[in-house]
Amino acid sequence: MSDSTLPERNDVDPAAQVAGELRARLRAMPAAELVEMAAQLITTYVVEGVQPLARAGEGADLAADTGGEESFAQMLKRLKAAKRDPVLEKFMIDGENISVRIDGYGILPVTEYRRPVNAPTAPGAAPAAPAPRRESTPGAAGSIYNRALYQPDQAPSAPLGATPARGATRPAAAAPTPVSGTAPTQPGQAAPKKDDPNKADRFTLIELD
Amino acid sequence: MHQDQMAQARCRETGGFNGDRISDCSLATLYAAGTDWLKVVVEKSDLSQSNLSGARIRETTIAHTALRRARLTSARLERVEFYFDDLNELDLSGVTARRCKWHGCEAMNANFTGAQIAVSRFEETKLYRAKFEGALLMRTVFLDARLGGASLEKADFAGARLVDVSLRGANLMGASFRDATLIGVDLTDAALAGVSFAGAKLFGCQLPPGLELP
Repeated sequence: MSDSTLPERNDVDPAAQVAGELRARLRAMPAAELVEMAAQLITTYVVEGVQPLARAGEGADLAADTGGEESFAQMLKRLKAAKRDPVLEKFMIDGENISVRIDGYGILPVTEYRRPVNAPTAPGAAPAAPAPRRESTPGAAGSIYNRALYQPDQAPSAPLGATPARGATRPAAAAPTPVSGTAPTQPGQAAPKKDDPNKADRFTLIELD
Repeated sequence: MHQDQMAQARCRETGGFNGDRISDCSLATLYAAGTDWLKVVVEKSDLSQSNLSGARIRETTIAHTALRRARLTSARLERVEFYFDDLNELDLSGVTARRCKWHGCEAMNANFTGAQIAVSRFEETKLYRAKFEGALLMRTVFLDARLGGASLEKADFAGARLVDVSLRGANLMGASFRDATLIGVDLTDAALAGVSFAGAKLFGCQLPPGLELP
């Protein structure tokens, strides 16, 4: 049997062949396009550490990106889990409530503004239903509109037409204005009835001020 | 009317918007080129034929808004979310978009020529005849849960670079990938009838079974 009858041998590794073709393709690209691509690759997969789609699965969200979107409590929780620092271990996180354990003083709440705002119920009375979470603006956290553009507990930003002229404070910083027909709030007044969640919320803000 | 004028004045005087909510405003043909938009919510407004070329738009939600035939050429979009917008014939050529989401929009004949789109999603968005010529798409997902795949019929990806892109189940009938470079693109279950791959190079892509490339 002569050599000419044998099938042609292919000594090239398929992976090496693909790599060679990729190199050739990249070589043919203009420099500007290559730089764009390299910059996007590095930013996406190295700097931001985004997982490739094949590994990320079929998640419905954009790539995990907690930076800048998490609350302080969430950040603290993440740092606690990542760092295992004894100082951080003194913080106790329950939802958005943060407490700190101090030797000799016990556990002290840090986030006082998150305390329950409902009036204490009388002994023996049925426990009150939790006040519904306010969704003051379309696009609050639970809405389809978005995740973190609105902080759920911030005052609503007024439409442009309602904002004061140039140089005035931002609507979110403005004090809540009383609604006509409601009596002015007195210090020490009990929380409003729970059948009106909006009133309860407004009262909370006044208390804060 | 009063609110429209206020919005225009605000944009002109402050060079954009910051934390504002623009609702039910008629701002067609607004000139906002080079402006800076941060944490803005635009909803139920008309921005059609507006000029936002070179604008920098960050952490902004644009919902139920008409941007038909608007110009966002060379704009920089970061964490911008478009919901149920009219984006037909929108010009996004040369745009840099990162962590953006298009949901339930109509973007037929939209122009993404030379755009750089990374870590983004097109969900249930009609992209019939959309132009992605020379665009760089990275870590981007096209999907449509209702139709089983994204609507990209007759879309033009000529000379585009697609890296880590999911076109799973997409309707790409009549689309063109002429001279495109596809790296790690998922084309599983995609409808590829009449698709042109002339001059295209595919590396590590997932293809429908039986597909033969030239």
